[in-house]
Amino acid sequence: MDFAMDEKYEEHRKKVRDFAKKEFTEKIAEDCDTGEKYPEELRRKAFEAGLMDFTDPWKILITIEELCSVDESLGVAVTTPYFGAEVLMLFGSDYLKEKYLTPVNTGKAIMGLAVTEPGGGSDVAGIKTRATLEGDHYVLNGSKMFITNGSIANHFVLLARTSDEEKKHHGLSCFVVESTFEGFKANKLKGKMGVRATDTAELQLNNVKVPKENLIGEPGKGFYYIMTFFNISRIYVAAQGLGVAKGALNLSMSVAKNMGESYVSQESVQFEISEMATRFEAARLLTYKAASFLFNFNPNPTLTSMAKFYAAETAVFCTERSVEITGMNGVFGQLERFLRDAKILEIWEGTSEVEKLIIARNLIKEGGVS
Amino acid sequence: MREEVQLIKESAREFLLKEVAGREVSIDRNGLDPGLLSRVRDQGFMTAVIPQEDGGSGLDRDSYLVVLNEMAKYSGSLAAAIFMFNSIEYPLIRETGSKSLLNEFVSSAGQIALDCRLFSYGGSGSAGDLYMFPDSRVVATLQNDVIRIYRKESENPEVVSQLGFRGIRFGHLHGPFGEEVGSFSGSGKFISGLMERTSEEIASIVLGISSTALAKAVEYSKVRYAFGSPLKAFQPIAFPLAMRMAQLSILENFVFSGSEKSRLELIGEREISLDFARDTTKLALQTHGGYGYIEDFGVEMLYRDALFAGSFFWPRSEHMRSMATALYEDEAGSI
Ligand SMILES: Cc1cc2nc3c(=O)[nH]c(=O)nc-3n(C[C@H](O)[C@H](O)[C@H](O)COP(=O)(O)OP(=O)(O)OC[C@H]3O[C@@H](n4cnc5c(N)ncnc54)[C@H](O)[C@@H]3O)c2cc1C
Repeated sequence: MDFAMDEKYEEHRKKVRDFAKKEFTEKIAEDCDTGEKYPEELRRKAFEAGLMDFTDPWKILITIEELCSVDESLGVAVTTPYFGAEVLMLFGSDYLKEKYLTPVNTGKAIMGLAVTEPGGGSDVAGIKTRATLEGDHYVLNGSKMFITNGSIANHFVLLARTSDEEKKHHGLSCFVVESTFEGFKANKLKGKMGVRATDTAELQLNNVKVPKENLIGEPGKGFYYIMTFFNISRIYVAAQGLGVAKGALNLSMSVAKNMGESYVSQESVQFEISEMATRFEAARLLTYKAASFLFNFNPNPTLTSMAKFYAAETAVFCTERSVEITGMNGVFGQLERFLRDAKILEIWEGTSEVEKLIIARNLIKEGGVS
Repeated sequence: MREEVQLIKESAREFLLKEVAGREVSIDRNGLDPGLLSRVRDQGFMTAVIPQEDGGSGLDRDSYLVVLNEMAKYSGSLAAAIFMFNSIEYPLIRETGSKSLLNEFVSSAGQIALDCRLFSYGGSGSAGDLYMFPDSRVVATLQNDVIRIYRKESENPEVVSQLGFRGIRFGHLHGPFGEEVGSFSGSGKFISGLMERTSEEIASIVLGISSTALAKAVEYSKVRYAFGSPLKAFQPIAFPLAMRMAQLSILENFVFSGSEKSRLELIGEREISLDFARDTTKLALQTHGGYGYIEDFGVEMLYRDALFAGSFFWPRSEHMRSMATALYEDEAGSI
């Protein structure tokens, strides 16, 4: 077993770190946070710098981790224009890939994934948005809630109900819905606690006509496609958590040092640092282990959910402790932003409770841990 | 609870229902407006525990704690403003021995900009020029062992982003200041005294915040459904909420008991309440799922306020040192 990463990844890590240090200035981070502005210019720069290399998922993971260690909100904003792309990549027709993936992969378009509804996000099979086949198109009615890139994306992978099966998750299908389709409306949501550089919106679908060929894969398989997607994307959420934990820890150490040698040499302060750092390393090992299964085409959903849940919890733990050990210094500026940003990690793409249910149910089925 | 304390609690509740209920998020976003603050003053809450001979309302300590607790149930910022006025600024002005300054201060109930070095670790001034209540008329600064009060003449400073209690503003303020109107030496003793004396107040505030967080989470878990059942049906929701409600009740019974407390208990209740508030408000946010992350729902604010209160005002290791010293009745926990 070798825990050292290939040199090419260390080089990539350095490249991303240098990019973030240069481009993610405190001024931009603060402006986007207070003004709830999407950093379009940064998105373009990140794309041009080739930070999201889809030919190598390890590089994507490292990119997300490193960018989020400088600022989670900006890091997520510039790495989610591709959100939902894996659904198209794995299950979309060549036509859909060409029409909707190519522009995203060439930096010309932004996409999103629309699953959650006002009535619920954890219970994916309980969604109410309906798609009815009428001749050569589907007609979609319903609404989606908290959709990242909701008011800036060109198109979405969207989950809707196409039939009323006894088992609710059997009647769902995925579609590509363009934001310019008639009857589609996005209302930007303002006033998030954190990740305020990311765009979030409520989507309304009022008799939206979607061409039949925009159905992704087979009808009735939507739930399965979305779960497959989550088993990939949760690794990247775990990477967001690693970045936040690391960033908060390192920042609080430097703030604590500035509070004087006599402060940072106190054992109680040092123990907090040790605890944060140890949890971070544990979260990183778990995330990289889950990633190595996935990236070798042998996904392990139990490990993936463990990584997502634990890395998110570690991020929240580290930001809270960072604020606690730095007292009045921590509740203003960069560290308080880290804390506000971190909490979303325990909610999006499966709450911590949902992850724990997945872990336990899989383990019960499999007869325990191996 | 004694009858007069109960009466104060009811009058605070009545005031809050009339003046603050429904405006909690707006106060957090836009600040405590002068109109509201003047009504808080008119009702005597702003000068709650300041003795009548100094122009205050002269409430006893138990009543004061209950006022802070009630205020915090609706607005952590309002509770914090009252706390700052009564528990930090008033003692500071009184210590100067200037009767005229005290009169002016209490009658205007205006606030003081405070040099952050008063509170930072070892008085090292690590927060640099960070001052609180930037639109106040006087400034208290710490130089060596002397606290000096000046008239503030400089422009109101730029407000900085802050985690919690956003209804009261914090900002950077640069000298030079105007006329010196009072001073006293021996700041070290004064400040460590403040740290201990304010433990109960902080506990009262964060328990108020926690109480609202729990009430919101319990209500939400009755009406929100997932997988065909109300959230309250799920053990990971119902069990921790029930446990925390029990803990809150036990903590409240202790903090508001009005009984004699040891020094260790006095300082300890702050630390225990802060941990409780941090975890309880976080649980309430989590129970609300995505909605908990949106300001309009007024839940994330409770988490931010609870965490911010933990930094009021010294790092935790300072408070723990006081606790350890109380335990050993001797200097302890210095390494
Ligand atoms: C900023 C932001 C961006 C987002 N981006 C997207 C996006 O791009 N696309 C998208 O589709 N969604 C997105 N979401 C939605 C997010 O995925 C959901 O908020 C999340 O899945 C939780 O769903 P919910 O909010 O409806 O909470 P609910 O499902 O109502 O859950 C409420 C609480 O109950 C708990 N709970 C539910 N069921 C159980 C159970 N059986 N046992 C124990 N506890 C349970 C949950 O864990 C949670 O704590 C985003 C949300 C936010 C806030």
